[in-house]
Amino acid sequence: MKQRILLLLTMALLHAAANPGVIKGTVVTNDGEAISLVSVTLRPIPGSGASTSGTVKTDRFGAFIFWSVQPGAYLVSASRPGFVPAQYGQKRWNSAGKPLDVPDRGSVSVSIAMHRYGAITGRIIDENGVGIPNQEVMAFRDTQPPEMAAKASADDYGRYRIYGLMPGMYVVRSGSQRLDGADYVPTFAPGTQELMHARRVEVLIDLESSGFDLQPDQGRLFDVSAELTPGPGCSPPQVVLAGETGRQVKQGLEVRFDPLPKGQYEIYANAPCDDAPFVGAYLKFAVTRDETLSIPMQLVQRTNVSYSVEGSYGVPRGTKLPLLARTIDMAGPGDVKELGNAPRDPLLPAGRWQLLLQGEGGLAVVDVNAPQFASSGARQPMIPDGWNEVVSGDHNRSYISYRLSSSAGGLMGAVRDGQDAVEGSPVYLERYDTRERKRLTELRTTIADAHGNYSFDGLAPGTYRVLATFEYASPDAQTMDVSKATDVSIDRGRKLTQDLQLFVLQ
Amino acid sequence: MRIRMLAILAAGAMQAASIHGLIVEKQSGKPLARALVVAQPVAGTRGATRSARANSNGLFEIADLPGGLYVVTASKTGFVTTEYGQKRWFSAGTPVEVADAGEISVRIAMPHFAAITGRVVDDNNLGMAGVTVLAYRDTRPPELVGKATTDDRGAYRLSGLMPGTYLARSDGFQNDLGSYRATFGLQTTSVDNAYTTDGVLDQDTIGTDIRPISGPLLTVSGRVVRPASSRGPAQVTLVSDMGSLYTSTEEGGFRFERLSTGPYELISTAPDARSGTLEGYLYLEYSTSSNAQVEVAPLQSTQFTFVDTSGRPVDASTLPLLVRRRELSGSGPTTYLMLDGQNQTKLHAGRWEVALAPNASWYVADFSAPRSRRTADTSAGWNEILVDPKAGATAVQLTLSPDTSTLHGVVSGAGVPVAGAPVHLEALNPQSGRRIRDLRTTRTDANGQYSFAGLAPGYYRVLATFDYQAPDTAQITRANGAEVKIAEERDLLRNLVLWVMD
Repeated sequence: MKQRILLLLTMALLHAAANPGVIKGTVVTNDGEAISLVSVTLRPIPGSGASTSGTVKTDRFGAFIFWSVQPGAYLVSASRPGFVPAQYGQKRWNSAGKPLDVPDRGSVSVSIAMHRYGAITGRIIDENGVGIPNQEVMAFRDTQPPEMAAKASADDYGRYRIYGLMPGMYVVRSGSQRLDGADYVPTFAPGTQELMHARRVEVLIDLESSGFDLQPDQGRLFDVSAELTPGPGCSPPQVVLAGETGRQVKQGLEVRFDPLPKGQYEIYANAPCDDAPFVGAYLKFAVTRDETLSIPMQLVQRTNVSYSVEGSYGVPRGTKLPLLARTIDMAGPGDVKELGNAPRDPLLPAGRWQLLLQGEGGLAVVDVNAPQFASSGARQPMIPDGWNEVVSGDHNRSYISYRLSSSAGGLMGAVRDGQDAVEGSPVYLERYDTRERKRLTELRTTIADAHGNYSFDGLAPGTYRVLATFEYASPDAQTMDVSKATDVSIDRGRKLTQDLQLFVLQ
Repeated sequence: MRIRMLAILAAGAMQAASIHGLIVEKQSGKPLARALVVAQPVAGTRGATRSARANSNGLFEIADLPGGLYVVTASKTGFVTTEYGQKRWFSAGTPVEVADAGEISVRIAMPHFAAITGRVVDDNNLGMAGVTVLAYRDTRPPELVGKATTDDRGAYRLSGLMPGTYLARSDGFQNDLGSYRATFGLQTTSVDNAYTTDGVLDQDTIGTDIRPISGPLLTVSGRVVRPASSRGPAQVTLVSDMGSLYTSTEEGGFRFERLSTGPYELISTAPDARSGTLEGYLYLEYSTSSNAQVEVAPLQSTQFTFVDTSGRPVDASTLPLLVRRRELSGSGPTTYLMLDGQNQTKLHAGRWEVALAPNASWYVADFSAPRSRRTADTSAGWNEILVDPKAGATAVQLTLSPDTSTLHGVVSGAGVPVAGAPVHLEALNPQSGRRIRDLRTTRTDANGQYSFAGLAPGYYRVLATFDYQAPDTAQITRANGAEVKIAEERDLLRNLVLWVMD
């Protein structure tokens, strides 16, 4: 105890007379080759005295330097397209970085290794082992349901290379193609329609997993076209057809899609008009034969979004409530865009949308209600502070209502390793459905300060799991399981205190 | 049943010949399932062109053919279309002869196209991902023939190429790492210092690495100049030797960024309350431009006039006129030119080329039309027209001569007529030695006879050989192509000896 006080005193003195230091370093590949033009970012750890932040780029020798760095603890991260983002002090490619201490007037040297993503290679071949050219091929993460990670196109020898993959287990699937009088239907490698019989591919960091040949089944593809009824004074619509293996985008009132395999699809179409914002259409359908769909376009109505705050009449003035939106279809989610601050009637083009309301300034989203999510097929639970679905352009006016509470919950505590406070430890918080054993919203991350203290605010009431560790930079739900994350229950209006033991992989 | 059998027997007696065989991948000998096989009768053989697809084992059969001579061609996606009996990739196939009620078996081995591979790397030899790499034929000017994108290792593969010498060039690009100019391998912006790579069928040739030169990219910006009656978005197209870029402008200002050096053409269309649509054309010499003024004006009809050599009008309704777009990136698809009763048509702003397809009645003796500053290569009998609406109506005059000639004869080899032999005819400028029209090719009939009609007077060379599918001028010289001088209105006989490459 005496020692600790002395240390604190010394630190205080040091801060008082802080003299800047220097951080020098190099960024190299796994093979030790210099990497130029890497963005290296410095982030101070609160409470450590550190206050310098910024980004520099490496030169052609992979070297970088931060002049005039205030003494304290820092996180140093490196990024460049084509490489997995890296941090100083990582144990492995997927670990979190350790803080770097810059002493008074000191000069520290660091080396950061960057890793490349994994890749899967193989050939798409016909019944005689001859390559099928131009065949589209996709890598799906081996999750439930499988999630498309990347796609590629085979060359004229049928060779493919799917790259940019995070390490993990994958399955490979071909797309559909009509070629030389044959209809190739989507097939999992090495040659099956059944996901359970598909060959699993392990993708490792920096490496290429090769030899994953695939012989697509021949079957029947169907010709589907659509005739859309225009609105007066409207431009030709953009028509999107989405299925589980991707999207096709066409333009016009009469569109013909590339041949499709049997299955479930959705179509959404939108066209700008002279005197109306736009007309649109959305429908879900199953392909079982050649057919021409008749799709009436109608005026797209605005989506009604309502907000209520407990114990308050309307949303208090000056409150920031950004509403985020992204399109969602069977091929996956689109880019996220902000619809503004608590918009009441945003105009969403026809299609399925996911909305996320971000509670800020002490307000937390505690309840959500959107009656039409059934049209998306599977009924999904509504998650107040997560992505929730609405359908626009589907006959009815879509609406969603949010209830917020100013008495949001919180979580705080200290991270310790045995008895010692852990400076700069990453702390991960996930909203977790204990019954379904499923993560409900995106992972939240914070960094413990110089005294090991962490804090999360603006939490909706519910069950959560929290984990402090340097072992992972972005743990998924399964990793949280094996790392023995702590279950916590957040109540309305209460800030729970929960100290955490640093998890270290043995 | 009996009647049907009889019918089949009767048909069989008339056309019982059959061609069957096997299509394989040349490299491996593996059968090529679903390859398309076409049997085309040589002149003098009865019957129509027939086709069949190979089965799963690469086997095909075309049955119930009249006896005679057929050129058999196999095609399949990803492979070079191959004629039966082709000695080399540039040779023509030899026809197969099948007797009435006979059958013949053929085997066709199909090669893959040539491909050129390499990497786009930075100063540290690290691959640069997502860079567009363009393949050009090593001609002057270089001709764009293919495109590829680098993967995460910076590797590119330009495929689908015919054998020949190529240049690889990274396109100008800008990303998180910086801005780079279009660069030829190894590291030059000059085509004359660029490394070349030979493409060979069935091979991936390892070509040069490219180190893009960092530097600013060019910007072309300017205004669409238009009258007050024109409101609404104007479309602007920027055409370069690498293709076209489009933009739309409400106010009239436009800007194309991240361009490489090179000549450009700007084409603009704008809506107009009075005349419907306005169009404009502008040619930009090698430069960056911040003030390009594209003046748009009502599009007027292009007036064609056809006269004979004595100045009398010619009825254009039966003339096989061809037209195609001419852009810096090459020629567009050829279509028939449709004229109205006044011999008018609306050609959009820009450069066009017209030609008269070979026919027995007329040849083009003279041509006049507005031309662009960048005069197109007219060596193929194509004549350029520049349609620039601000300059008013476009007038085109073709002077036609009815005095066409015919060249015919017999091709013999070892003293006997050769049936189905390819005969190539090229029109030459005797001074420059350059070809002035597209090569014409025919095949001899069953008696070894060939014939070319509708020839304009001039110098020609004619060559009968199986060794070339489409010989260029140098190849015709090497093969001692026979020189023919054609005067007006002649029926010239020239017997040929089949040339065989040693």
